[in-house]
Amino acid sequence: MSESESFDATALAAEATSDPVEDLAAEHGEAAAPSSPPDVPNVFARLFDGTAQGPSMGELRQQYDLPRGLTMALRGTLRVADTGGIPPLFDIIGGTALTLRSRATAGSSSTSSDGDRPSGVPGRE
Amino acid sequence: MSDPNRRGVWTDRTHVFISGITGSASDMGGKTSTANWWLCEPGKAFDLRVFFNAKGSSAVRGERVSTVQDLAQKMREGVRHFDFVPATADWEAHHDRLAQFVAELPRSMSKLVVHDEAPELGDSLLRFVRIYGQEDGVNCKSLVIAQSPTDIKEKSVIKQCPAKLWVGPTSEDYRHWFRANGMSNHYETIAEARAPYHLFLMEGTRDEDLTLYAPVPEAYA
Repeated sequence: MSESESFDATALAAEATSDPVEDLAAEHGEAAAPSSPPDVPNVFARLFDGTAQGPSMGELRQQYDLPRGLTMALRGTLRVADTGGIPPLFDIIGGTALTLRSRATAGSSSTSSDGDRPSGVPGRE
Repeated sequence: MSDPNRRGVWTDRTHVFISGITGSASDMGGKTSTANWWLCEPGKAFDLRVFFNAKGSSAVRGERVSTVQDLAQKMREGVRHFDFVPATADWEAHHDRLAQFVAELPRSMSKLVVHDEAPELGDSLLRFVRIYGQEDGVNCKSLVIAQSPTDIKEKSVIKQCPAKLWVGPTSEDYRHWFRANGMSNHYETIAEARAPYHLFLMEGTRDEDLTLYAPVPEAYA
C-alpha cells in the first residue's frame, strides 16, 4: 500500500477512542470517575492540595489562642469526663507550673519567633 | 431446535470457525449471512464490531470503510459497527493493519471481528485467534470464515477456535476432515440432516456437543 510509512496504529487507536470511550461508559450507565457537583467544595481535594494557602498563624491565634488559664481549666474539665485519668486539680496545677517554667526559660531568648508562617511557603487548611 | 439467543458462545469470547460448502449452488452457502447476522444481533453485546469483508459482499451491514484510517475516523464519530472492504487487493496488508489497530484499542472495549476468506489473510489471522482473545488482553472475539477447513494452511488457526460452526449440508469431501478432528459422529449427523442453511454448532467431539440451529433470517443474506 502506498501510505505504508504513515501508518501508526497507536495514534489511530488513540484518535478513534478519544471520545467514544466516554460514550461507551455513558451507554453502560457507568460514570468515568466520581465527581462533586460544581457548587459543592471538594474538601478532600483541598486537604491534599499542597499549593492551597491556609490561614496565617496570626489568624489562627486570633481564633484559637485562648488565655492560658482558661485553657488549663478547659483541659481539667475535659479530664473530668474521662475515666481513670489524672484528677483535674492536679492537671490544672501541673499545667500551670509547666507554663510558668516555659515562660521563665524563654524569657531571656528572643521572642521574635512568633510562629508566623514564612511568606511563600504553602500551607494546608 | 435450539435458540441462539440463550447460548453463551454467541456472546462470549470463544473464537468460532465457520465453514460449509460454497454458496454458488442452491440450498448451500450462508456463511457470510450467518456472520452478518451474528454481528447485527448477538454481536450487539460487543463494543466494536468489524466485518473484514474481503470480497465486498453487499449483504454485509455496518458502516462501510476501506482503510483502517477510515475506520478510526468513523469510530471518532461514534460508529461501532463496520463493513470493512479493503481498498486494494492486498487483503493481507489491510488485515495486518486492522490487527495492529485492534491491539491498540482500549482493553475495556470488547471487540468482535469477522474474518471472511480466512485462507487469504496471512499471519495476522493467527495473531487474532492465538493472542487477541483474552478478555483481559486485547479482548477480541474472532469469527473465522473459510469455504473449506482444508483451505487453511495454518492448522493452529482452527485449533484456536474451540467452536466450529458448519453451515448447511456437507458432502463426502469433508468426511476425512471431520474424522481427523475426532468428529466423525458429527459428520454423520450433518450428512443425514441435509438441512440447507442450518447451523451445526460443534463445541466438542461428543454427540451432545453438537447443536442444531435454524437458518438465520433471509434478510441478512
